[in-house]
Amino acid sequence: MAAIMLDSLVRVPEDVIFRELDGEAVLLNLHTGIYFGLDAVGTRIWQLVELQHGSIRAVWQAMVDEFDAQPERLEQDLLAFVRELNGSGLLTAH
Amino acid sequence: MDALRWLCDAILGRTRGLPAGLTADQALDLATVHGVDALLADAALRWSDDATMTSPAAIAPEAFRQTLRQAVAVEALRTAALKELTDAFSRRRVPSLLIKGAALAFTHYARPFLRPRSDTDLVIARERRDEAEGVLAEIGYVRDAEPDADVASAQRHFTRTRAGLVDAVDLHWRIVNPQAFAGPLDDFGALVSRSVAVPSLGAARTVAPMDALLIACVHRVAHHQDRVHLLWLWDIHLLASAATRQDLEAFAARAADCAMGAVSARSLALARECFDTPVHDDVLSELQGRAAGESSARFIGGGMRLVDIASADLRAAATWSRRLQLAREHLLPGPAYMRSIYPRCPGSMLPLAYVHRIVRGAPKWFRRPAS
Repeated sequence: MAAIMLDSLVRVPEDVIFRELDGEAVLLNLHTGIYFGLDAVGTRIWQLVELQHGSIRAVWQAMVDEFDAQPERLEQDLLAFVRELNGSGLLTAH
Repeated sequence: MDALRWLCDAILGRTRGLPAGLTADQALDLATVHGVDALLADAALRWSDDATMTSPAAIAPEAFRQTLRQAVAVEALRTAALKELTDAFSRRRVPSLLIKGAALAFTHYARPFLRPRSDTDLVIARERRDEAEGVLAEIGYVRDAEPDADVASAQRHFTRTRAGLVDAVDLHWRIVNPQAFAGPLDDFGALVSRSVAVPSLGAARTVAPMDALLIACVHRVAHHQDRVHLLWLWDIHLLASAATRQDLEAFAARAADCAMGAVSARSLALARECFDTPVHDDVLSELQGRAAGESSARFIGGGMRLVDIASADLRAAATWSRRLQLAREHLLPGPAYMRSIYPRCPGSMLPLAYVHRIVRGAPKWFRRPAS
């Protein structure tokens, strides 16, 4: 499996669904039953992934515009988030 | 303050603090026992903005959030299975109606995950049962080991495991098992003629709201010993609250025609006691007034042993041939079922297996249900 970097592209597998829940969200893989609870920031990142058609760099750029944090820190957090979801089958790198 | 009373008020949004002596974990445990943990968590998380720091959400927000996350995830799995199920029945042109929780979650709850359920109840016409079982087999459901009863039971049970979640389907050709409740409510054609679509589930249909109310009132008494279980009473509350006065009057008339007036009055009165359900005294009086002689009323208050239920069934059965069939289904289930529970018994010894089953099962028939 290729390492996920800023220039990677990801997609949401067909079996994964996203449900919003009072500012948070739940991601669920219908095939495996694995689910993740997302806090408000995670929910926003997920929305950006969908909005930016899976371009991690575009998501990062949008986060830099939206969040009051160092770009390096945002990159680190974003990549950790995407790698964790990828490892759980909730996102796929391609 | 009584913990159950507090829980009802909390779900209704009428209280924002824990009563003395009840911790947040205990509140959640009590709600889970009554199937209303998601309802409580949903209500309680809305209190977190409130200044009252004694609300359970303020004390244990993570536990409540986790309850909701899990409910959402489980519901998503169940909804996917439900769509597959109802689409399969529609594709094969086997008419079916969803009843109870699987339907109410989409027709009467604000969000489906607030109505947890362990199975999906589907009603079909008795004469289409073989086809319905074929549809279930096609999409991976396997029938539980159970006798092939036609009169003693109103349903067959099927399960399938997907993504670690056991998905159970109860396939009904009557609504409830006891004969005292058999009658007009089991007329599948009439239920279909009044049925309504469930748009969020594709091709799925469910019974009309007042049929759903009657089923909700009857089910808890006929199958669960009149047990006070808040989730079922909340179903009744939502159905009755959404009804007009005219709807409820029509409901009372239908309940009386089905000889289920007393049982319906009992369930509505309990919902009103717990959740202040807007049911006028006139409706309850109408139900009670026409309830004289209803054999279903015997089930009110619970405490019935299996032998009492069987005896009520024998009395309520319309003909002697039906009574004989009932007795045969209880005492002499088919050889296939017997071989499944006595797999090492040679065919020639099967009569002894029947005797063994009757002797071994006898104490269970005389045991009082746990209160």
